[in-house]
Amino acid sequence: MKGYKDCVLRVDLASKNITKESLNQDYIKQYLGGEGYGIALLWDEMPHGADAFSPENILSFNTGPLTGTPTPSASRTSVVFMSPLTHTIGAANMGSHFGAELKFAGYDSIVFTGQSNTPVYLVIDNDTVELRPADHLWGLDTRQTTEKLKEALGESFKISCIGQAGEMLSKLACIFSDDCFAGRGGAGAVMGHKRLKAVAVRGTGSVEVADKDAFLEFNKTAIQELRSEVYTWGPVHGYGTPAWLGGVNEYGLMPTRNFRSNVFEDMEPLMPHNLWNDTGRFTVRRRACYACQLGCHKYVTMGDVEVGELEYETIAAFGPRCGVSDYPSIAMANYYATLYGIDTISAGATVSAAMELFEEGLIGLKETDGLDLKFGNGEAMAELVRRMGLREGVSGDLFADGSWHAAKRIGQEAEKFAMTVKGMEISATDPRGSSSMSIAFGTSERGACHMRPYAATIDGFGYLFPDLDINEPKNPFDDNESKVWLKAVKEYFVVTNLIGICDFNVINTEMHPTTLAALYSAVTGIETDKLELLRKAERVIALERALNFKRGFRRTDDRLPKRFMHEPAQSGPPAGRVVDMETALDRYYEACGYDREKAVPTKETFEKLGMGDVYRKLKP
Amino acid sequence: MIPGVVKVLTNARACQGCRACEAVCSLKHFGAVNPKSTGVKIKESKEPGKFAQTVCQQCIDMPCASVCPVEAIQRDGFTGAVVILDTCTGCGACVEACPIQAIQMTHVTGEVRAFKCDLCGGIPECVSICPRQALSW
Repeated sequence: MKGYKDCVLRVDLASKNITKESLNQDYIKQYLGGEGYGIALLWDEMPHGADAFSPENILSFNTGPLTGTPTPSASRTSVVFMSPLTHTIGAANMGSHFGAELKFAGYDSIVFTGQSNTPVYLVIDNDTVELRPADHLWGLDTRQTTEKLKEALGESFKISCIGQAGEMLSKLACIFSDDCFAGRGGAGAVMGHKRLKAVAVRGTGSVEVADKDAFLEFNKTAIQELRSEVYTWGPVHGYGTPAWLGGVNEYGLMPTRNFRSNVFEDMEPLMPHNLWNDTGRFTVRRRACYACQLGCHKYVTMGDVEVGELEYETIAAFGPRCGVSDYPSIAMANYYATLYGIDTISAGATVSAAMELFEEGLIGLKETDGLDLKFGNGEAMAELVRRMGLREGVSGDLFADGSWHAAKRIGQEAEKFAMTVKGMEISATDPRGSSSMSIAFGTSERGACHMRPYAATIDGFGYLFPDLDINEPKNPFDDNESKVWLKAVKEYFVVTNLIGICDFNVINTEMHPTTLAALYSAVTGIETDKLELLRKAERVIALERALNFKRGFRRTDDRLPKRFMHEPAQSGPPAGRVVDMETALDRYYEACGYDREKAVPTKETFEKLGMGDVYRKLKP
Repeated sequence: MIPGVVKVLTNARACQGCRACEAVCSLKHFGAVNPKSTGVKIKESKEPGKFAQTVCQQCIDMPCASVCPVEAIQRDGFTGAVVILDTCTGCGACVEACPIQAIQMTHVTGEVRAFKCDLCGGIPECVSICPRQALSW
């Protein structure tokens, strides 16, 4: 079995015991690897009701079998944990060169259990693995931590670390690795709770490939599929993800002023060419993740400020969502989020909720520490992000855990303005403009996430995907339309998390499932077709839902906030539309074979997937 | 082929640092991806987003070949590439002699050998995979 390294590193932070073990072959057979491996560990080894902030929580960094190979963007590491933000499973996925380096060092996964008494960091230098005291790093931001570790260990080490937000258990805290982030769900806070400041890895070993010639041939096909998709290889390759800003706005999908509207009237200044062409103020450089063809990752500096990566989601969250249309404020907000290590999507969404709460009079200058949090005030937006990152003052502490937790503390009607599902802020697509995204946000196992799947490409923008049997355009405004296609798209997105590549290879229907299956077969030597890949993803999703079910999540938790069911979209193509959530959920549960009330697979579905044992454990 | 005409050319400003070239080079020559066994090397400078590329320039005067004690480095008549033959003993003299550090010592196959760009026998895989045309020939 090539591709995999067949070695899992186990680090118990309480006893400081470090062991190595072989991969659990049952997990590989059922769930393939990556995110699936981490979820299977949670299911088997963690008490199902464990609190995210308890030593029982298991934090794992999982590479996929393709990570480290020249497959486009085979860079991914899936960080799996129980989320303090949502109390559901947490699965956050990052690029950079960390995952490939971990494979070169000889490991598929690192599994952290327990909690350390004092701050520590883990150093992996091929076979040599040790925990070291991190007292001198505690309190440093992500860039300082990375720099100090590289000074001490050597430039060739790849670093993943948390900033102050993770240390202070902000539920929005993320894990930083060379300006890539395992962003959503509070992975950084779990690391902070375990008092694990950083992981540094250097590897000089090999990732083996079973059939080199077949791999090189299919890899050329995969690259050709990417390069022949005009939008991907045009604007997205050029500008990175901000290339989507214009199109999403035109289709009426742009969250504006905390979803009061769905089209931002002042988008022009935020179009990516204005960032790139403003050379007096900004420099933008490409800085791709490992083996990535697309290279969406762009490194932005503004004078002396190392802004870092400005993504579509970041610009949309700090920009239109807060009514802000100037790049310098957005850049500063991103800078603070990067330094202190918080998720930019949730941070921007939380500021926008705070702005609406402020305008509605539910919070005042006392709660904002004097900030005039009106929509459109860019400086106040960036300042609140800074305070949230450092938990500074009343406002920083109130909003550091996201809009849902803040709303619960504020009380009254504040929860009405938290645009979250399961406590996670909805990302930058207005669900009123795309039926599939209503379901994707609602039913995502980790909370309202932009990548499980991003399906507006199909029903919103009208793409077809014959290799997934999507041969007819779908209606973005019909919640009653069959959602069998959405099940396939979601599974395919999850496949990328299992196998170790980036979703951006499939978001515009570029890389075909057949090609990916051929690459997996060539790398591992395990003959696999696309249906088997999708089935493995289906099992992982089923297991995630089972774990959420055990933690009390039901159909009611798969609903969008009420705003989307009662306040019609303001303009653009979806103008006048509201979401018929119950119908949409019925169509989706039907397509997936889920119980309509329990929102988990039925007995028959579990048995069809060969997961009868999981079903039996669902009963109390 | 006239010596030194065909070689992998680099455009530092176009490079995005993805290292797909390294990965495919290693895989093509060794059947495994190994970051220490690549004919082309990408290194990020202190300034994020700026990368340096190192790859053999198939020199006309071949300083590596002139120090090889067993004459294991020769020019390929077909591609014009300077190639290391199987008779390499792994002494490392060529690594020292290369003016641009384009030769590496590798032990992926079990034996210690010198390794460098051989233009993949005519059509370099690194050039095909480079998404930015930072590499060309």
